[in-house]
Amino acid sequence: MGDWEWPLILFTVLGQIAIGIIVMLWWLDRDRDHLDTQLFKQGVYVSGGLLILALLASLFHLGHPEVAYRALAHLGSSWLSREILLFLLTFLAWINLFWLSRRQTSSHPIGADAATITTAEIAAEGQQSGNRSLGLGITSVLGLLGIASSAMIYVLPRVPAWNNVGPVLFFLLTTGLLGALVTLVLGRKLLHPTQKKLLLQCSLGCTIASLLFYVIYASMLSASMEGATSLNFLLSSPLFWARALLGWFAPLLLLVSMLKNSQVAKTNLILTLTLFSVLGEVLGRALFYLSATGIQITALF
Amino acid sequence: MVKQLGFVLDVNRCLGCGACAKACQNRNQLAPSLVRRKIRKIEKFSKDHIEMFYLSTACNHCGNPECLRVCPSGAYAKRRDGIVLHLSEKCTGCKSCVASCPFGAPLINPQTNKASKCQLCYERLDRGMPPFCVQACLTGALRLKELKDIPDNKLLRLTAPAPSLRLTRPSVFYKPPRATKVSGFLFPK
Repeated sequence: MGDWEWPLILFTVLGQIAIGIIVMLWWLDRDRDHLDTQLFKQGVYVSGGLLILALLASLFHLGHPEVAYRALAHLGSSWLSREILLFLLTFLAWINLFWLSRRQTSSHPIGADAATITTAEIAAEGQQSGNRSLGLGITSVLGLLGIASSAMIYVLPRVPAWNNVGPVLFFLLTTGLLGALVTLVLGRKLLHPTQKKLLLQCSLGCTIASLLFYVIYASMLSASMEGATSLNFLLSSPLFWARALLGWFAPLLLLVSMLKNSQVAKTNLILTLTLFSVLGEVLGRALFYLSATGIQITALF
Repeated sequence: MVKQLGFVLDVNRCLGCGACAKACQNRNQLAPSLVRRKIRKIEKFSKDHIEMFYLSTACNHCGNPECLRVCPSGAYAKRRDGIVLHLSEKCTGCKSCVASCPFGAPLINPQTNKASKCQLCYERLDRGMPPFCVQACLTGALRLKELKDIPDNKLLRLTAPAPSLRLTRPSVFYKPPRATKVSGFLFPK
């Protein structure tokens, strides 16, 4: 069995929230003028803060954090080297977003008097939103590649519970789920109802996919002895059931009721939902590390 | 010329005395938690036969080492004689090798916070001397050989149940244990 890997839990979950926010902003910005400038700024600041925290947390996993730069030395075959490079590139792309957010003027609200907007202002705004969309797109793609590289580190023949598509899938689903929910929290007063609904639908999709894939993943685990050991550990652990309650069942109930009753504007419900999901994902990630059982050669075969 | 040195263990000669493991521990001045060579007792029972032997294992200096593949800082290297070296000065202590090695060879040294594993006493080998473990073996059960010179059909290769793990091609061979026939006294029919 593995250990409580707090630096890795924090690095992966916080990094995925940060990149998830950027991806959601990019998605909301696909029609250019639909992303509120204030939300863009808030999203960039929060994602940057989380990304910095994540990168700092990752250092504590190393025996020698002061020589962390050496981990870039084996890009040819090490997914850890690739992950670090991609996260550093994501951070550089985020610095560009930060610079863009500082230069961004407030957008005109929908329905503003068209006569008051000059042609020059429209051209400048078009340029700004074009740069913003490009910046968000580049940061999102780099971040998603970084997350995929993070997951590939765990695809190891020695650990049957990890040696499958599970890590990549679950890391990307966490990005989608928590990215959408934290963006919803940030934009609870700034988003249009349709945008809120879209984010809730995205969260619901990710939660359902996570639950369904977990059932398939668990059934795959029983195929090997070490995988079955991981599965037994999970099913007998109270943490797993807390994760299931907080990360799957409670969010599913809340999301379905919010989407059915059009209660998308209720701040308390959004905050509760986000808190449950974050806790569920943190517990899920802790269990990911705790339940890993490696193959050990014990005899001649 | 590229070679592949590897351990060859005749399990019929091995007494399980642990001299190889003790020599490795003492001569390399390793911390108590840093066990580079382990002795395991293997018992297999079938209807007619009993197999019981001791298996002395350390780093297998694989032909295709997982530790070398996953290490982000390039702290592993494979010499032309096949020895997989851990270069401590490049190690960041990220534990990737510890998680990935199917044989559990690399361990974290609590004194240095870096990985540590059997280096096959390469400095002694370069001076024409045997590794400490081979030198300490009382019965000559543990030997170091150039693996290309050994006919494969005489030996068992240490391997693993998962096909993907076999791809590491561990450079350790064993002379198969002789099974002991079960007497009627022990297992009456």
